[in-house]
Amino acid sequence: MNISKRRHYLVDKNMQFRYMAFVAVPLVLLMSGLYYLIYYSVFTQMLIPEAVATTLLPAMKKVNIVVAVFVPIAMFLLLRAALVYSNRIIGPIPRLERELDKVLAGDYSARIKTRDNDELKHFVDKVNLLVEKMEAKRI
Amino acid sequence: MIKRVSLVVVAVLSSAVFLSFATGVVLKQFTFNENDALDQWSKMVLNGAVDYELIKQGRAGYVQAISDKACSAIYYKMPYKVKDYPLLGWKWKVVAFPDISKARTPKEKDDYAARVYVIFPHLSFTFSKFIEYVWAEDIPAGTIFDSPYGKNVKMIVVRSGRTNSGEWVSESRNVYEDYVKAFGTEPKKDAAAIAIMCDADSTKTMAESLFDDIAVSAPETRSIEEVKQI
Repeated sequence: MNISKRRHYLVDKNMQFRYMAFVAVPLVLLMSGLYYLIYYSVFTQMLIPEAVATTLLPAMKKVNIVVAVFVPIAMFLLLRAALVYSNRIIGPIPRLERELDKVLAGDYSARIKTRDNDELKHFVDKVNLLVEKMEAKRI
Repeated sequence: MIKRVSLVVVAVLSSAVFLSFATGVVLKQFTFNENDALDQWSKMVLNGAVDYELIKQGRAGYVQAISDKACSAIYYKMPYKVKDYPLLGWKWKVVAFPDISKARTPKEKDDYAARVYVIFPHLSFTFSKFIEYVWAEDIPAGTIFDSPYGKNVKMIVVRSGRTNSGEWVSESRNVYEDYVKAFGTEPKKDAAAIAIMCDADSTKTMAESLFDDIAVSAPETRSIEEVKQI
Protein backbone atom coordinates (compact mmCIF):
# COMPACT_ATOMS: atom_id res chain seq x y z
CA MET A 1 0.00 0.00 0.00
CA ASN A 2 1.48 3.33 -1.06
CA ILE A 3 0.96 6.82 0.27
CA SER A 4 1.99 9.66 -1.93
CA LYS A 5 3.13 12.85 -0.24
CA ARG A 6 5.75 13.05 2.47
CA ARG A 7 4.58 15.62 5.00
CA HIS A 8 7.02 15.28 7.87
CA TYR A 9 10.63 14.54 7.23
CA LEU A 10 11.52 14.44 10.90
CA VAL A 11 9.98 11.33 12.38
CA ASP A 12 12.72 10.36 14.83
CA LYS A 13 14.73 13.43 15.77
CA ASN A 14 17.52 11.68 17.65
CA MET A 15 18.20 9.04 15.06
CA GLN A 16 17.91 11.38 12.08
CA PHE A 17 20.09 14.06 13.64
CA ARG A 18 22.67 11.39 14.44
CA TYR A 19 22.54 10.27 10.81
CA MET A 20 22.90 13.84 9.56
CA ALA A 21 25.83 14.42 11.89
CA PHE A 22 27.35 11.13 10.75
CA VAL A 23 27.24 12.41 7.17
CA ALA A 24 28.10 16.07 7.76
CA VAL A 25 30.84 15.98 10.42
CA PRO A 26 33.30 13.64 8.63
CA LEU A 27 32.69 15.53 5.41
CA VAL A 28 33.40 18.90 7.04
CA LEU A 29 36.49 17.47 8.73
CA LEU A 30 37.69 15.91 5.49
CA MET A 31 37.13 19.09 3.48
CA SER A 32 38.77 21.26 6.16
CA GLY A 33 41.73 18.88 6.31
CA LEU A 34 42.07 18.93 2.55
CA TYR A 35 41.79 22.72 2.46
CA TYR A 36 44.48 23.05 5.13
CA LEU A 37 46.71 20.44 3.50
CA ILE A 38 46.67 22.35 0.21
CA TYR A 39 47.35 25.64 2.00
CA TYR A 40 50.16 24.21 4.15
CA SER A 41 51.80 22.36 1.26
CA VAL A 42 51.91 25.50 -0.86
CA PHE A 43 53.04 27.59 2.12
CA THR A 44 55.93 25.28 3.01
CA GLN A 45 56.88 25.15 -0.65
CA MET A 46 56.96 28.94 -0.95
CA LEU A 47 58.49 29.75 2.46
CA ILE A 48 59.66 33.24 1.50
CA PRO A 49 57.31 35.60 3.37
CA GLU A 50 57.04 38.12 0.52
CA ALA A 51 56.03 35.30 -1.84
CA VAL A 52 53.46 33.97 0.60
CA ALA A 53 52.07 37.44 1.32
CA THR A 54 51.79 38.51 -2.30
CA THR A 55 50.75 35.26 -3.93
CA LEU A 56 49.33 32.67 -1.57
CA LEU A 57 47.43 34.90 0.86
CA PRO A 58 45.48 36.85 -1.81
CA ALA A 59 44.61 33.52 -3.48
CA MET A 60 43.50 32.10 -0.13
CA LYS A 61 41.36 35.19 0.48
CA LYS A 62 39.51 34.57 -2.78
CA VAL A 63 39.12 30.91 -1.89
CA ASN A 64 37.84 31.88 1.56
CA ILE A 65 35.18 34.18 0.04
CA VAL A 66 34.01 31.39 -2.24
CA VAL A 67 34.03 28.97 0.69
CA ALA A 68 32.12 31.43 2.90
CA VAL A 69 29.42 31.83 0.24
CA PHE A 70 29.10 28.31 -1.10
CA VAL A 71 29.84 26.11 1.90
CA PRO A 72 26.68 27.17 3.84
CA ILE A 73 24.59 26.52 0.70
CA ALA A 74 26.31 23.19 0.09
CA MET A 75 25.91 22.25 3.76
CA PHE A 76 22.21 23.15 3.69
CA LEU A 77 21.65 21.00 0.58
CA LEU A 78 23.71 18.17 2.01
CA LEU A 79 21.89 18.18 5.37
CA ARG A 80 18.53 18.39 3.60
CA ALA A 81 19.47 15.41 1.43
CA ALA A 82 20.61 13.54 4.55
CA LEU A 83 17.29 14.35 6.23
CA VAL A 84 15.24 13.14 3.24
CA TYR A 85 17.30 9.97 2.90
CA SER A 86 17.19 9.24 6.63
CA ASN A 87 13.40 9.68 6.42
CA ARG A 88 13.26 7.06 3.68
CA ILE A 89 14.93 4.59 6.03
CA ILE A 90 13.38 5.57 9.34
CA GLY A 91 10.01 6.93 8.13
CA PRO A 92 8.11 3.59 7.90
CA ILE A 93 9.30 2.36 11.30
CA PRO A 94 6.86 4.34 13.52
CA ARG A 95 4.02 3.42 11.14
CA LEU A 96 5.14 -0.20 11.23
CA GLU A 97 5.14 -0.11 15.03
CA ARG A 98 1.69 1.57 15.17
CA GLU A 99 0.03 -0.81 12.74
CA LEU A 100 1.61 -3.89 14.31
CA ASP A 101 0.21 -2.76 17.66
CA LYS A 102 -3.24 -2.81 16.04
CA VAL A 103 -2.61 -6.34 14.69
CA LEU A 104 -1.50 -7.47 18.14
CA ALA A 105 -4.70 -5.99 19.51
CA GLY A 106 -6.63 -8.20 17.07
CA ASP A 107 -7.27 -5.77 14.24
CA TYR A 108 -6.04 -7.77 11.24
CA SER A 109 -7.33 -5.22 8.77
CA ALA A 110 -4.41 -2.93 9.60
CA ARG A 111 -1.96 -2.36 6.77
CA ILE A 112 1.30 -0.46 6.88
CA LYS A 113 1.62 2.32 4.32
CA THR A 114 4.85 2.99 2.47
CA ARG A 115 6.11 5.23 -0.29
CA ASP A 116 7.85 4.05 -3.43
CA ASN A 117 11.19 5.49 -2.35
CA ASP A 118 11.13 4.08 1.17
CA GLU A 119 14.13 1.85 1.79
CA LEU A 120 12.07 -0.62 3.89
CA LYS A 121 9.31 -0.89 1.27
CA HIS A 122 9.95 -4.55 0.40
CA PHE A 123 10.18 -5.53 4.04
CA VAL A 124 6.95 -3.68 4.89
CA ASP A 125 5.21 -5.27 1.87
CA LYS A 126 6.10 -8.70 3.28
CA VAL A 127 4.79 -7.75 6.72
CA ASN A 128 1.56 -6.60 5.06
CA LEU A 129 1.38 -9.93 3.21
CA LEU A 130 1.88 -11.79 6.47
CA VAL A 131 -0.91 -9.81 8.17
CA GLU A 132 -3.11 -10.38 5.14
CA LYS A 133 -2.57 -14.17 5.35
CA MET A 134 -3.22 -14.11 9.08
CA GLU A 135 -6.47 -12.23 8.42
CA ALA A 136 -7.51 -14.78 5.72
CA LYS A 137 -6.82 -17.75 8.04
CA ARG A 138 -8.79 -16.10 10.82
CA ILE A 139 -11.85 -15.67 8.57
CA MET B 1 109.25 3.66 22.37
CA ILE B 2 105.63 2.54 22.78
CA LYS B 3 105.17 5.18 25.48
CA ARG B 4 106.45 7.90 23.15
CA VAL B 5 104.14 6.81 20.34
CA SER B 6 101.21 6.72 22.77
CA LEU B 7 102.02 10.22 23.99
CA VAL B 8 102.19 11.54 20.43
CA VAL B 9 98.85 9.90 19.56
CA VAL B 10 97.21 11.32 22.69
CA ALA B 11 98.66 14.76 21.93
CA VAL B 12 97.40 14.67 18.32
CA LEU B 13 93.92 13.49 19.36
CA SER B 14 93.71 16.11 22.12
CA SER B 15 94.66 18.91 19.77
CA ALA B 16 92.12 17.64 17.22
CA VAL B 17 89.38 17.63 19.85
CA PHE B 18 90.45 21.07 21.05
CA LEU B 19 90.42 22.44 17.51
CA SER B 20 87.00 21.04 16.76
CA PHE B 21 85.57 22.83 19.80
CA ALA B 22 87.61 25.95 19.21
CA THR B 23 85.99 26.40 15.81
CA GLY B 24 82.50 25.58 17.09
CA VAL B 25 80.15 22.85 15.97
CA VAL B 26 79.15 23.47 12.40
CA LEU B 27 75.76 22.07 11.49
CA LYS B 28 75.84 23.12 7.87
CA GLN B 29 78.25 25.06 5.77
CA PHE B 30 77.94 26.29 2.23
CA THR B 31 81.28 27.20 0.73
CA PHE B 32 79.89 27.20 -2.81
CA ASN B 33 83.16 25.68 -3.97
CA GLU B 34 81.60 22.61 -5.60
CA ASN B 35 80.26 22.91 -9.12
CA ASP B 36 76.85 21.60 -8.05
CA ALA B 37 76.66 23.72 -4.89
CA LEU B 38 73.47 25.48 -5.97
CA ASP B 39 71.67 22.26 -6.91
CA GLN B 40 70.67 21.77 -3.28
CA TRP B 41 68.95 25.16 -3.20
CA SER B 42 65.38 25.72 -4.35
CA LYS B 43 64.21 28.78 -6.25
CA MET B 44 61.16 30.83 -5.33
CA VAL B 45 60.18 33.38 -7.94
CA LEU B 46 58.13 36.24 -6.54
CA ASN B 47 58.13 38.83 -9.29
CA GLY B 48 60.43 37.94 -12.11
CA ALA B 49 63.45 35.70 -11.83
CA VAL B 50 66.65 37.00 -10.29
CA ASP B 51 69.73 35.47 -11.85
CA TYR B 52 71.48 33.37 -9.18
CA GLU B 53 74.69 32.03 -10.58
CA LEU B 54 77.55 30.08 -9.11
CA ILE B 55 80.78 31.85 -9.97
CA LYS B 56 84.00 29.88 -9.71
CA GLN B 57 87.39 31.48 -9.32
CA GLY B 58 89.84 28.61 -9.31
CA ARG B 59 88.66 26.22 -6.61
CA ALA B 60 86.73 28.86 -4.70
CA GLY B 61 83.21 29.85 -5.57
CA TYR B 62 80.43 32.21 -4.58
CA VAL B 63 76.88 33.03 -5.53
CA GLN B 64 76.19 36.01 -7.72
CA ALA B 65 72.68 37.47 -7.64
CA ILE B 66 71.61 39.97 -10.28
CA SER B 67 68.13 41.44 -10.17
CA ASP B 68 66.78 43.37 -13.12
CA LYS B 69 63.45 44.71 -11.85
CA ALA B 70 62.91 41.24 -10.43
CA CYS B 71 62.41 39.55 -7.11
CA SER B 72 63.15 35.92 -6.38
CA ALA B 73 64.95 34.01 -3.68
CA ILE B 74 66.81 30.77 -3.28
CA TYR B 75 66.33 28.74 -0.14
CA TYR B 76 67.74 25.64 1.50
CA LYS B 77 65.47 23.57 3.68
CA MET B 78 67.20 22.46 6.87
CA PRO B 79 65.17 21.92 10.03
CA TYR B 80 67.21 22.73 13.11
CA LYS B 81 66.91 24.14 16.59
CA VAL B 82 68.12 27.70 16.66
CA LYS B 83 68.78 27.42 20.39
CA ASP B 84 71.27 24.60 19.72
CA TYR B 85 72.83 26.20 16.67
CA PRO B 86 72.29 29.92 17.12
CA LEU B 87 75.10 31.22 14.96
CA LEU B 88 74.59 32.14 11.36
CA GLY B 89 77.60 33.38 9.48
CA TRP B 90 78.00 34.49 5.91
CA LYS B 91 80.00 36.70 3.60
CA TRP B 92 78.35 39.15 1.27
CA LYS B 93 79.21 41.93 -1.08
CA VAL B 94 76.89 44.48 -2.62
CA VAL B 95 77.87 45.44 -6.13
CA ALA B 96 74.83 47.59 -6.91
CA PHE B 97 72.02 48.87 -4.68
CA PRO B 98 68.48 49.26 -6.00
CA ASP B 99 67.61 52.92 -6.51
CA ILE B 100 65.12 53.65 -3.73
CA SER B 101 65.27 57.43 -4.16
CA LYS B 102 61.85 57.56 -5.82
CA ALA B 103 60.23 54.99 -3.55
CA ARG B 104 57.59 56.43 -1.23
CA THR B 105 55.61 53.68 0.48
CA PRO B 106 57.14 50.98 2.70
CA LYS B 107 56.32 48.37 0.06
CA GLU B 108 58.01 50.43 -2.65
CA LYS B 109 61.05 50.76 -0.41
CA ASP B 110 61.14 47.03 0.21
CA ASP B 111 64.03 46.42 -2.16
CA TYR B 112 67.38 45.32 -0.82
CA ALA B 113 70.47 44.30 -2.70
CA ALA B 114 71.10 41.49 -0.23
CA ARG B 115 69.01 39.63 2.32
CA VAL B 116 69.60 36.51 4.35
CA TYR B 117 66.53 34.79 5.81
CA VAL B 118 65.95 32.41 8.66
CA ILE B 119 62.48 30.92 8.37
CA PHE B 120 60.39 29.51 11.21
CA PRO B 121 57.22 28.12 9.67
CA HIS B 122 54.19 27.39 11.83
CA LEU B 123 50.77 26.00 11.03
CA SER B 124 49.86 29.16 9.15
CA PHE B 125 51.66 32.18 7.72
CA THR B 126 50.30 34.46 10.45
CA PHE B 127 51.87 32.37 13.18
CA SER B 128 55.09 31.73 11.28
CA LYS B 129 58.11 33.85 12.04
CA PHE B 130 60.73 35.18 9.68
CA ILE B 131 63.98 36.99 10.29
CA GLU B 132 65.52 38.89 7.42
CA TYR B 133 69.04 40.20 7.71
CA VAL B 134 69.44 42.99 5.21
CA TRP B 135 72.09 45.25 3.84
CA ALA B 136 70.16 48.49 3.58
CA GLU B 137 71.28 51.64 1.88
CA ASP B 138 69.61 54.26 4.06
CA ILE B 139 68.56 52.57 7.32
CA PRO B 140 71.05 52.55 10.21
CA ALA B 141 72.68 49.25 11.08
CA GLY B 142 71.13 47.61 14.12
CA THR B 143 67.62 48.79 13.27
CA ILE B 144 64.93 46.16 13.70
CA PHE B 145 61.58 46.84 12.05
CA ASP B 146 58.50 45.08 10.75
CA SER B 147 58.39 44.13 7.12
CA PRO B 148 55.57 45.74 5.14
CA TYR B 149 54.35 42.17 4.64
CA GLY B 150 53.60 41.50 8.27
CA LYS B 151 54.58 41.91 11.89
CA ASN B 152 55.79 38.33 11.93
CA VAL B 153 58.51 39.27 9.44
CA LYS B 154 61.29 41.15 11.21
CA MET B 155 63.89 43.02 9.25
CA ILE B 156 67.26 43.41 10.93
CA VAL B 157 69.64 45.83 9.30
CA VAL B 158 73.05 44.23 9.58
CA ARG B 159 74.93 46.62 7.39
CA SER B 160 74.06 50.04 6.10
CA GLY B 161 75.14 52.36 3.36
CA ARG B 162 77.73 52.14 0.64
CA THR B 163 80.80 52.36 2.87
CA ASN B 164 81.68 48.69 2.53
CA SER B 165 79.91 48.08 -0.73
CA GLY B 166 82.13 46.61 -3.40
CA GLU B 167 84.08 44.56 -0.88
CA TRP B 168 83.45 41.24 0.80
CA VAL B 169 82.13 41.63 4.34
CA SER B 170 81.82 38.79 6.84
CA GLU B 171 78.86 38.64 9.19
CA SER B 172 78.10 36.51 12.19
CA ARG B 173 74.73 36.70 13.90
CA ASN B 174 73.31 34.97 16.93
CA VAL B 175 69.92 34.15 15.45
CA TYR B 176 68.52 33.02 18.78
CA GLU B 177 69.36 36.34 20.44
CA ASP B 178 68.15 38.29 17.42
CA TYR B 179 64.87 36.37 17.49
CA VAL B 180 64.32 37.14 21.17
CA LYS B 181 65.22 40.77 20.55
CA ALA B 182 62.93 41.08 17.54
CA PHE B 183 59.91 39.10 18.71
CA GLY B 184 60.26 39.41 22.48
CA THR B 185 59.96 35.65 22.97
CA GLU B 186 62.01 32.54 22.45
CA PRO B 187 61.48 30.68 19.19
CA LYS B 188 58.66 28.20 19.73
CA LYS B 189 59.31 26.40 16.48
CA ASP B 190 62.44 25.09 14.85
CA ALA B 191 63.94 26.94 11.93
CA ALA B 192 63.09 25.14 8.72
CA ALA B 193 65.08 26.94 6.08
CA ILE B 194 67.57 29.63 5.29
CA ALA B 195 67.35 31.75 2.18
CA ILE B 196 69.12 34.51 0.33
CA MET B 197 67.60 37.14 -1.88
CA CYS B 198 68.42 40.15 -4.02
CA ASP B 199 65.49 42.20 -5.26
CA ALA B 200 64.80 45.38 -7.16
CA ASP B 201 61.26 44.80 -8.40
CA SER B 202 59.46 47.41 -6.30
CA THR B 203 61.72 50.21 -7.52
CA LYS B 204 61.93 48.74 -11.03
CA THR B 205 65.69 49.19 -10.94
CA MET B 206 68.72 46.91 -10.81
CA ALA B 207 70.63 45.36 -7.94
CA GLU B 208 73.53 42.99 -7.63
CA SER B 209 75.06 41.18 -4.69
CA LEU B 210 77.34 38.25 -3.96
CA PHE B 211 77.06 35.64 -1.20
CA ASP B 212 79.55 33.15 0.16
CA ASP B 213 80.44 30.93 3.14
CA ILE B 214 77.04 30.60 4.73
CA ALA B 215 77.29 28.53 7.90
CA VAL B 216 74.99 27.48 10.71
CA SER B 217 76.86 26.57 13.86
CA ALA B 218 76.93 26.34 17.63
CA PRO B 219 79.13 28.69 19.63
CA GLU B 220 82.62 27.54 20.48
CA THR B 221 82.06 28.08 24.21
CA ARG B 222 79.69 25.10 24.30
CA SER B 223 80.68 22.41 26.80
CA ILE B 224 81.29 18.78 25.77
CA GLU B 225 78.11 17.75 27.65
CA GLU B 226 76.04 20.30 25.73
CA VAL B 227 77.47 19.13 22.43
CA LYS B 228 76.75 15.48 23.35
CA GLN B 229 73.14 16.44 24.09
CA ILE B 230 72.83 17.91 20.60
